[in-house]
Amino acid sequence: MLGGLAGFAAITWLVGWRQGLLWLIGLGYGVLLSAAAFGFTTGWRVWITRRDPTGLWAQFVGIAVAMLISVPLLAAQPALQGADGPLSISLLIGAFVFGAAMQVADGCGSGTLYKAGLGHPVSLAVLPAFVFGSFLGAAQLPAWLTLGALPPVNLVHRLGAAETLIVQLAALALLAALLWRFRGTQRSRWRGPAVWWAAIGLGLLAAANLVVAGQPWGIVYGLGLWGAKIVQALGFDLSHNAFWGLPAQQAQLHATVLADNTSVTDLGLLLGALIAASWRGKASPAVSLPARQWLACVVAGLLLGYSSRLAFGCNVGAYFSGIATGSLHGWVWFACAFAGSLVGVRVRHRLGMAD
Amino acid sequence: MKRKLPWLIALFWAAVVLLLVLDWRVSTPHDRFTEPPPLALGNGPAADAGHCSLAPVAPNSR
Repeated sequence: MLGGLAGFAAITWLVGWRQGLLWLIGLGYGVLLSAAAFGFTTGWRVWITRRDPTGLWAQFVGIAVAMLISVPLLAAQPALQGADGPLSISLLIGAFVFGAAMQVADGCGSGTLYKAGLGHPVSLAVLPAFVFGSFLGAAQLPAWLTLGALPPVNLVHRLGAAETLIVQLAALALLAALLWRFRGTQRSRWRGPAVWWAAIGLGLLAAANLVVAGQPWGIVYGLGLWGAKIVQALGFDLSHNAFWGLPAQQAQLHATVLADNTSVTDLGLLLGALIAASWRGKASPAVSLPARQWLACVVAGLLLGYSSRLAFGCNVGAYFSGIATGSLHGWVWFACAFAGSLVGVRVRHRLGMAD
Repeated sequence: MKRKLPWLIALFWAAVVLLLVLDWRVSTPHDRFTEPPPLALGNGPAADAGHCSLAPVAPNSR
C-alpha cells in the first residue's frame, strides 16, 4: 500500500497530475482483477468447457457500465478518443490467434499483467515474451495492413449516443440470455458478489480512464513501447521502421515511459495486483509444470503480444474498451477471438494443462 | 512439493524499478511545468501517441 502511495507521489511530482491519476486508476484495475480473480480468459474457458456463464456475464456488466458513461461523453466531447480500430484482415487473423494463445498461456493482456504483478511464475515467464511480441507486432503492423483494411467505424458517430447504447446493450443482453439458455448445471467457479463488484468497479475505472487520459483503457501499446525501448537501448535504430519511426512514436520512444498513459496504468495494474494478493495471502503462488508446458506458455506469450498488435488491441483495448466506446472492431474482435479460444482450449487439453 | 517463491517477486520488482530508473536517466528530460491539465475531458485532444487500437496512419473515418 505504501508502494502505491509512493508511486503516486513520485509520478505526480516527476511527470504531472494526469499521470499520477492514471497510476491510481491502474492500481484500481490491479486490485479489482486480483481480488476477484476477474479473468477474461477463464471466463471464456469455463463457458466453453462447463457452460458456466458467470465470467462472461461479469464481463458484459463491466462493459455495460463503462459504455453507459463513455458513450454520452464521446458524443458530447469529440476530442475524446474511442478505441477505434480499423476493420482489417489483420484484425481477423490477430484476434483469432490471440483468442487461441490466451487459453494456452492462461492469461490475456490484463490477466498476464495482474498475475505477473502478484508473482505467478508462469505469467512472469510469459510477460517478457508478450512485451517482445507486442514490439514486433507493432513494427510489422503496417505491412499486415497492406492485406486490406476498412476505416474504423464508431457507432457513436454513425448512429448517435442513445442509438448506440440501445443497440449495444440489446446485443449484450441477447448474448447474456443465450448464455443463460445454454448454461450448465455445475456450480459456478465464481461464488459470492466479489466478481460483480469487480465488474462494476472496472467499468467505472475504465470510464475514469477516458476522462483523465482522453483515451480508453488499453494494455498492449504500453507493452510494445517497453519492448521498443529495450531494443533501442540495445543499440538498434528504430527511426526507419514503418511504425516506430513515425514522429509521434519517436517522440514517445525518447520520452520517459512514465509519460505514456498506457504504460502508467499498466505499471499501476502490476502493483495493484500485488497489493490485493498480499492482503489475501495469495502472492507468489507456487506452480509445477513440465518443461513442455513452460515452453508452450512462453511461445503463446510471444503470439499474444504479436497478434494483439495486428488485432488493434487485446481483450481490454479491443473487446472491453472497443465495445464500451462504440467501436465496431470490438465486436469483430470478440467473435474472432472467441472462435480462437475454442481452438485454444483444445490445444490446452492436448498439452495436458488443467482447466 | 510446491513452495512459494517470494524471492521471485522481489527480483521482478527490483528489475521493474531498475528499468524505470534507467529509462528516466536516458530519456529526454521531462519538463514538469508544461504538463497537460489533470483531466483530458474538456481540454482538447489528448497528446498521447499511443493506444493499442490506433492504426499507424491516423484513422480519419468515424
